[in-house]
Amino acid sequence: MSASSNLTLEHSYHEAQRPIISVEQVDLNYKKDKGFTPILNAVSLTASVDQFVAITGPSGCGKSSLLRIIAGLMKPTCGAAKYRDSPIIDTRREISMVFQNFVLLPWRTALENVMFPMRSGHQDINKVKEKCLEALCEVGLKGFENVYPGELSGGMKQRVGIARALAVEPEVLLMDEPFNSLDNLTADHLRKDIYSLLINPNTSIKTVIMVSHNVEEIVELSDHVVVLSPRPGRVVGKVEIDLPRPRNKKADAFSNYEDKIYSYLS
Amino acid sequence: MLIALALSILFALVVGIAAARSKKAEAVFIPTLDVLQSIPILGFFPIVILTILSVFPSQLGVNIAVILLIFTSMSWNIAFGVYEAVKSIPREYLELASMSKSSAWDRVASIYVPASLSRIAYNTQTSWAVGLFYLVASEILTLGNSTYTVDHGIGVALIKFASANDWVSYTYAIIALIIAVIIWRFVFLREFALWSERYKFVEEPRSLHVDPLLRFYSWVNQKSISKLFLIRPGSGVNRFTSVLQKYQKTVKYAVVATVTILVVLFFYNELAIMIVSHKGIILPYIRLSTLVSVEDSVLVAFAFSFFRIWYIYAICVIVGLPLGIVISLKMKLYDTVSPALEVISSIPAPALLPLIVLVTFGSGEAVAAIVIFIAMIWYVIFNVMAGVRSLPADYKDLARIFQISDRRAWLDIYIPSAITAFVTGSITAVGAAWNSLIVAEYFTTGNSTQPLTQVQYGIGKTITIATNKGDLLTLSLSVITMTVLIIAFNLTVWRRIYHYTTNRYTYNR
Repeated sequence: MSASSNLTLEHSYHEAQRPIISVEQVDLNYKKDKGFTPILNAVSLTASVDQFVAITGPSGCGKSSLLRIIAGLMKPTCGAAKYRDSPIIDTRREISMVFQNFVLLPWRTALENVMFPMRSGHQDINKVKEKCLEALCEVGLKGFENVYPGELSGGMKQRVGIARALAVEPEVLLMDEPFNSLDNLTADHLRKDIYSLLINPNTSIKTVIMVSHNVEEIVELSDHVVVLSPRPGRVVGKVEIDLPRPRNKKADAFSNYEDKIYSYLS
Repeated sequence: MLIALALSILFALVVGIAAARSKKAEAVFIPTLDVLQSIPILGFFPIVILTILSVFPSQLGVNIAVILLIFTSMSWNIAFGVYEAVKSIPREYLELASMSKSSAWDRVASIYVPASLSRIAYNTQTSWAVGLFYLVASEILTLGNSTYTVDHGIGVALIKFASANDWVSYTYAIIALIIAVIIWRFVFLREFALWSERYKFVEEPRSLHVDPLLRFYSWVNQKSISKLFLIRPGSGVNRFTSVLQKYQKTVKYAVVATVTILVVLFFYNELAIMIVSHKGIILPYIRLSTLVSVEDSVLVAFAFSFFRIWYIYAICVIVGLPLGIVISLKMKLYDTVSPALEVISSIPAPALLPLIVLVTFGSGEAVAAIVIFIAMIWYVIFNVMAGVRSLPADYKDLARIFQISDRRAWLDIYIPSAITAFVTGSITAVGAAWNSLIVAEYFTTGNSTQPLTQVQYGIGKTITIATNKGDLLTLSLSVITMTVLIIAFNLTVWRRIYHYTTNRYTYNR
């Protein structure tokens, strides 16, 4: 018993040393007529165990493109994004994503949407179903399994999106402006839940990378902030946020961090 | 043709604006327009041309008739466009107008017309293709023993060349037609559409070939008469009662359909005679036996045509659905293929008829199949393409992020995403198929009444033969049967499918 827990401790210690996601000197150019437009310029960042990382910057700085490179949806022109030291050349099961516009299938119920990415091939379908029900339960949608997305509110839709991303048991969760399509009150509510939902010993998730342009949201949620410049996006600042959770938005320390990020943005 | 287009736009503006601004006009115009556009125009044409010719004999009359036919084929679509556009003018604009005390004319000129322009431009593209079909079909019309043709026209030229076995000239004529189509579509219509873009209030996702018929359905839904036909899908809470309800509706449908058919059959003869004699033409040879036999053959012919259309529709689905999805999923393929498809699709099927006859060695059934296929396939393909294109790009990312297999992505994402547009396209396609029957099932060249190709039974054939003989009784019976059955079918079958799909398979609800 104690031996095994020792082993886990040692293991996690080593793991903590090594970033799970590392982006190394990434350039991205779009081809345009005969020349090309640079989108990202020598961007580097890392995300380690139990870290909540935020990427921010002005509109069009390429922050969403950066996230898509990490997801394996896009290839960088130069440099590489790596998952545990192996370059990300395609999408992979360990990396999951929550979308700005939810991207639920309107013709499937909440439960079926969560089950959609599951490969039922090897597993017992009932077990899969149970796991997905659990995921729905965790995001606070117990009793809504058989409801179609059209009958859910925006906040609930995003909760289904989060449950879907959690159910595949990824190590890395990417979120592209996850609160942007929600009204302020709903977003506030979901933000309060999300950190403990994602970063806790019961989930498989080791690190979260979020793209956002809402500075308050970033200070509320993240441990590590990467600020990009206007196009082409370069890293102009990195901020470590060391505040106890849950964070008090009215505290001086909180607004100091906000000011610091704003100073990089302007 | 341009005269017809101008008339159509004028008509559309008047009716569309009236319907959108006044409740009473709306109640009258919208259902009327809808019935008018779902009936086979070509079937009615002989009756119309006879009437016009009795007033204006000679070339003038023929030209008026042709313009009228093209007008009827184009105007409904545009009128619905105007109606929709005026309906969707943001209220603030109207309030602004009434606050500045502008006159009614000012309002029409400065708000309604500009607001409708982009829809007019857009719907004109569809209408033009349809109009071209009728142009070619109508330029040659045989009636009784005499053939009325306009002196000059591409349709006339084509048939002349084909019947003289002059295939070189025929090819030149086809090429000329294609070039004209390209110039018209990509120079004039495109410019018109682009120019009118700036008159849009809001950016809206473009949808191709939206069938106004469906707008009518949703309009009827809000009216009490329709409660009889209406299915209200339950929210899935109580499956059992909803199943029970469904059966109740089916029984209701059956009863209504049976009663309708009985009533129609009962008044059938009277109705036909009434209509015919109302036109001032009393046929000398009405006998009961003729009527019975006529009635028989009309129904049999309808059944044959019905079957013919549905098996060809099945082929269209098998070909068009996957093709449409594949084309629109691949960016590069879409960019190259879709303009080509647009050109090919606007070549009117009747113009190709002689060629089709040549290819099929004159088999009547094969000719009919190909013509009907051509009439339908574009609606299916273009609508599926529009449906898949309107799928947000995020869904492709979704499939990749979660490494969904291609097979599951097709079954769970791409096909469902195209379903609504596919049903819309199907309704339009089948409507177009009914129209094409008149050309497809019985094909004669220019001056001879002897058919080049024909099918054994078919309502289109019955109509054409009756037209040739000047047999107005059979003609009216056939056209009325066809119209009633088509409308009944639309109201029962299509309506159900349409509502089911729009309820389940739509984004952003």
